[in-house]
Amino acid sequence: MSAKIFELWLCPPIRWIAFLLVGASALLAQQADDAAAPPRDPTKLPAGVLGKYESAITSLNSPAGVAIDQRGRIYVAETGGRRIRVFDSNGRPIREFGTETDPPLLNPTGVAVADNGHVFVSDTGNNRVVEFSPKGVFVRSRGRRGCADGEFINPGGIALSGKWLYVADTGNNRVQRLDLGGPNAQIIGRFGQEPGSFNSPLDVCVDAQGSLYVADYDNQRIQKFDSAGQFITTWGDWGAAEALLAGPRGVEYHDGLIYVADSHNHRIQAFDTSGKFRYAWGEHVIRPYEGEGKIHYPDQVAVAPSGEFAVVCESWENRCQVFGRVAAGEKPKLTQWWEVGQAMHYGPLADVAGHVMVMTETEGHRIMVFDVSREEPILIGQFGGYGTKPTRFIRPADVKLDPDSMRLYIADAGNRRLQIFRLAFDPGGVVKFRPGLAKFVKSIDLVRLGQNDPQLRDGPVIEPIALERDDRGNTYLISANHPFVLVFDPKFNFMGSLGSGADEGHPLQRPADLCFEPSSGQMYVVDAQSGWVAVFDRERKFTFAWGGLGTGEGKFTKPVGITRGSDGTIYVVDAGADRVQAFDGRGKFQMQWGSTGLGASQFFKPVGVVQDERKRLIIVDYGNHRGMYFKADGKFISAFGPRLFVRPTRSSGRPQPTAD
Amino acid sequence: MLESNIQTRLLLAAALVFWTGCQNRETGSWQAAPRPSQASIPQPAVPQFDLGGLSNDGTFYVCYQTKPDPPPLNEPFDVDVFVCNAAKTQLLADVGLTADADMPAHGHGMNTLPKVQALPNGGFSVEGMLFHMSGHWEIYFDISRNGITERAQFDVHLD
Repeated sequence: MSAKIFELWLCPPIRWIAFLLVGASALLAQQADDAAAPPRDPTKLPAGVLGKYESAITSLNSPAGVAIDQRGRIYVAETGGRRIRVFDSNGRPIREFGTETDPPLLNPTGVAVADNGHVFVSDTGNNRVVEFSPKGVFVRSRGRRGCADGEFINPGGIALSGKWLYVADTGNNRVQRLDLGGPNAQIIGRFGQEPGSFNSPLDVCVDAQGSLYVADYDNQRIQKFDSAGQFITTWGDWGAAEALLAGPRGVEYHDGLIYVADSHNHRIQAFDTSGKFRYAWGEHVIRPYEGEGKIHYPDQVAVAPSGEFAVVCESWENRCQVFGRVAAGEKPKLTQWWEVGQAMHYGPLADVAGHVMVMTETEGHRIMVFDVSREEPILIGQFGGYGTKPTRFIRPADVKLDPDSMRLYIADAGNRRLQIFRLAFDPGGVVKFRPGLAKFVKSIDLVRLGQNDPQLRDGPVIEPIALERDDRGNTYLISANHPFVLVFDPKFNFMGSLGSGADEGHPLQRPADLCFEPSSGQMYVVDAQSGWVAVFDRERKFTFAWGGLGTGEGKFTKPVGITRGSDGTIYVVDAGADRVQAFDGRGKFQMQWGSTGLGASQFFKPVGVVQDERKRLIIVDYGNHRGMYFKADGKFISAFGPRLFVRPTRSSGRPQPTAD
Repeated sequence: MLESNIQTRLLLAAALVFWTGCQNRETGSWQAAPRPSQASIPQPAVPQFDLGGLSNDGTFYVCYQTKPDPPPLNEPFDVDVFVCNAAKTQLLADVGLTADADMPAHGHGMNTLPKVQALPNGGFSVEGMLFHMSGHWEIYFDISRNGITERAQFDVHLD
C-alpha cells in the first residue's frame, strides 16, 4: 500500500466506510452460502407472461425434479447424480446433499420445499420420501417398496399443501396423500383409463384452494381432484396442437395457472385451473444439444413464489433453464416440432433376424423395418402410430423377432401389452417398401394377465420395457415396476421370475435389458440401477454377475442394453457413460469404445445393441437420433438416420458418399 | 305352475336382452362386446356363410356376411359375424369382438366408427361400416378372450 493510500486509510470517515463495506460484503457472502439473498426484486414484477429465456444451469446429471423456495433458491433433484443440488436464482451453487444419508438417495426425481425450509424428496430408487432440514440434514423418511398404503413403487413428483404431502406413486399408478404429522396415507386413484384413474402418473401439484392436479403421463392428460381426493375434471388428449399433450411429465401451480411440462411437444403449456388453455412457450431444438431457451423433453417446471421466473429441467439435456417474463403484451417464443422437421429417435431397443432389422421409434409411436443385407439399412416397412387400438402403440419399448417364424413381438409399455405380428418378408425378393409387411396376429393384455394370476395379482401392473424369448418359446419380460424378470410359457401362463426375492444373491434392482444364450440356456440381464450384469441358468437360478457402478473397465454407470454376439461375446451399452463394453461369456472384460459426442465412435445416451448376420454391431444411439454400425472389434463403419445427426460421423469417421 | 315357469323364462330372456343392449351402449364403438355366459344361451347351429376363415393365429374360425353383399362404395353397410372354434364345430359365446377396416396401401382406414352388438343368437352385428374409396380393403375382426385379442382379417376389392 502506498503512503498516500495509507494516509487515506487513517482518515476516520474513509475507515468507517471501509469497515462498513467489508462488513456488508462479509454479510453478503454469508447470505450467499446460507440464504442466497435473491438479487431479484419481487416487488417489481413484470406484467408479461413467463417464457423469456434468461440463463441455464448446466453440467447436471439427469435433473428430473425442481422446486423453488420463498427466497428464489432453486432445488434440483439430480436423478443421475443421486443427490439434491441447491442454486441461487442466478444459478450459482449453494449446497448439495443426499449422498450422505443411509441409504444414500437413489435416483431422486421429485423435490418440494416447505415454508419452514425443510426439503422433501421422492427417493425413487429407494421407494420412499425423505425429509431434510434446510441445511440438507436428514430428518426422517417414510415408505418402502410395496403396494400397501404408505408404500411406494418408483415414486415421482411430490407437492406440499399444509399438513399434506402428495406423492405421485408412479409405479402403483396412484397418488398418495401423506399426513406429515401422522401415519395416515390416503390413496387417490388406481390404474386405468377412466376419469380418476392413472397410467403412469409422474407429477402432482396443489393449487391455492387445495385442489390436486396430476400429470397422467401415458393417459396424455391432466386430472384435477378436490382436496379430499374426489375427481373433479380432466383435460388434454394426445396431440401437438394447442392444449393437446404428448407425454405430460410435470405439473406446477402458480397464481391461478397450471404449468405443464409437455415433454414430447418440447414446450411448457399454461392452463387455468379449469383446464382452459392460456399460453405456451418453448422453441424446438434445431442443433444437437442446443439450449438458450430451446426446450428438449422437459421433465418438470417450477415457478418462483414471487412469480418472477420459472425453471424448466430437462434430464435429457442434463440441464435446467431459467425463464423470466416477457414484456407486457408480448408472447413468448413458441415453435412446433413440425416447423423444424421431425427427427425421429431410433430405439430404444432393436432386434435383427436374417436380413431384417426391426426398430422401435418412439416419436412416431411406430415400428420401423429395415433390410440390412446391404451396406446401408433400407427402410422396407413401418407401421403403428399412436393409439390404443390393435396395431397402435403408446410407448413401444422393445421388439423381438423370431427368425424361424418371422413373428415379431413388441412390448408396449404405455398400453401395457404385447403385440405379435408376422412379417411377410421374402429374403430373395426385391428390396422395396412394402405397406402391408406386418400382419397383426394377436395381443396379450398384461393388465388382465396379471389380474388372472394369483402370483401377480397383488403386485403392480406390468409395464413392459424389454423382452426376450428362449429356445423353448418362453417369453421373458422386464417390467418397469418389478425388480425382477417375469417369465411366461408359450401360452403366456406365468412361470416364475429371474431374480425374485427367493433367489438370493442376485443384484437385480432395476433390470433394463436381457439376452439369451442358446447353447447354455443362460439369460444375461443388465441392471440400470445397480450396474450389474446378472446371469441366470435355464432353471431360472442366479449363477453369477459382474460389473457394478463405476467408470473403470468392466464397471457401468447406467447400463441399459445388452446383446450376445455370434462368437459368444457379450456387448453392454452404457447410456450413462456413452460407451460400449465387450465381455466374454464369463464376464471377463474384452474391450470398450465410445465417448460423448456426435462424431464417429461417439454416442449420446445410447440404449440398444444388436448384431446382424454380417456380424456388424448396430448401436442404437438414441440421443443422437441415429443408428451406428461397428465391426465386432468396435471399429466404426457408418451411421444412419436423420442427416443432421449423421453428418458429423461422416466427417470424422471413414470417408462416406456425399449424398445422404 | 307351467305358466309361471314360462313367465319366469320370458322375464329372464327379456332381462338378458336388456342387459345385452346396455352392455353395447356402454362399450361404444371400439370396445370388445362381452356377452352373457355360455351356459345361459342355448347353443345355436354354426351358420353356413360363404365368407370366412381362420384367425391369424389359427385359434378361431370367423364367418361373416356383409349386408349388402358385396359391400357398396361410399355407402354404409352392416356385417353379421360369427366366431367359432377352429374346427367350426362350436359357436363361441365367451368372446368379445371389435371390427375395423384399413386400406393398407394407403395407410388409412375408414372414416366411420362401426358399432358392434352381441346378438342372442350367438353372433355379432356390426353396423356402420363404410368404404369411402375403391381399391383394396382389409376387414378386421378382433376377437378377445381372457385378455388375448386375436385378429381375423379378410380382403375386399372394391371397384
